[in-house]
Amino acid sequence: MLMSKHNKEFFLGLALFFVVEICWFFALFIVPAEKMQGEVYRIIYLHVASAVTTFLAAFILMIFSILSLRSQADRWMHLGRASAEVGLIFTVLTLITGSIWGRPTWGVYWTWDARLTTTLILGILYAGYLVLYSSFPHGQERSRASAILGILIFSCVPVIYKSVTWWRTLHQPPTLIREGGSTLSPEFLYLLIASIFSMVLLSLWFISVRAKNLALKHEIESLSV
Amino acid sequence: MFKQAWLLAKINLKADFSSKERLVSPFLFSLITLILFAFAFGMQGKDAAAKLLVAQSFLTLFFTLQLVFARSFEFDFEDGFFDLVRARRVNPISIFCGKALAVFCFCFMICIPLNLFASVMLGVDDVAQATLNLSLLIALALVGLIPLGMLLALITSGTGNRHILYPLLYFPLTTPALLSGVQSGLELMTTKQGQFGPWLNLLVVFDVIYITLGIVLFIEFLSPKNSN
Repeated sequence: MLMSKHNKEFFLGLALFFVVEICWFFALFIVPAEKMQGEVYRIIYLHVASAVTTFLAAFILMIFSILSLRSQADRWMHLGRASAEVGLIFTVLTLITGSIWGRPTWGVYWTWDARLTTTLILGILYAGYLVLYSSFPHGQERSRASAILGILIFSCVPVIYKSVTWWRTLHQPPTLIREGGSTLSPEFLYLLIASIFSMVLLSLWFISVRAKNLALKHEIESLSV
Repeated sequence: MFKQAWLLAKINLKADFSSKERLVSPFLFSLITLILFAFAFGMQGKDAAAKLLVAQSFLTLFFTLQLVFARSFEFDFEDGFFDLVRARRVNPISIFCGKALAVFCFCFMICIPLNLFASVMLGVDDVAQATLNLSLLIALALVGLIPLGMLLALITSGTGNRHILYPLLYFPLTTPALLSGVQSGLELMTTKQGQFGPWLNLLVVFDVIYITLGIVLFIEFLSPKNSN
């Protein structure tokens, strides 16, 4: 029997969750503990993957915003909103996992460190985007305003990324992408790359499914009116 | 194009000067904010005066600018200016530049007496030099902040909750320009004259980004296909 489109989507999501679970299993039980930090370092497989996904969501939001301004199709607007929602969720996840990691390593859950503060700012911007989106009724004005903001939000991402090199911060400097190659040993590095990759794919799946839900919701609303 | 922009800037400035309330309210607001910050920081001695001057001036201006930017398109929406512009196909770059020039002149007019007052209050050694340096630096920061502030005013103007939305978006989005402005100011005040570090370069980079985004997105906003 042929699988329906919805079933395919469901099984794709299930498969992506399974890949993420495998990465976490390896992170928790297979790779050795880190010499300096011990067991607590294992959170990087969730924290770093979430942080990369947060930045990627901002990039995707910018792309969909540009497309929305160009073509005016509802599809891009729904995808933009879905990206902002996913971006906000992953920003919160990044901040929470960062706080959990920060307590044993820095001694505090939160400090007004440049990286933490700028990531919080990105979270506020995602929330601002969603508030702005909800403030307008469906139409060109909503599409235009949210697309302009979506493009502006991405301008903050380079500041967040460079914050650890521009300011003296508690947060560690870049370890993955840096001059002279990564400082991580291969046994940690490959799993980290796999974790990031699986989380990014999962977030793309979230965006796709959420955008379809938004389109469906809009269709139902327009039929009921 | 430049003639159109200049004409529009003059019309906007005339509108700002036509009402005492529009002219005086940002001045009074900035003065009260400055006094409150000065009171909160207290007397810190000569060494800290230069640093405090930069911090207080930028923070005060940051809050005052929010008022000026938020109302920059007030009259235009009331008068249906943009519908007219879309119908007549007026060059959007000249409208944007004219508006930005008017807002720049108005903001710069606020910042000079503000910086002078702050320098005197903090007892900075060379008041005239400090005021001049800081005013020029703020002018450079304004070049980037104005397009961003105007864009935010544009996109939030159609919402019912713009008084909440505007600061919610304005504060986080202006952070890069504000940080680089304050850090450049600290470099300017605390190091030898004429020595500028990477912060000033960063400020210029953000100016270029915001001006480019401002013009491109404003053109999109005024595009006839975007009319309601």
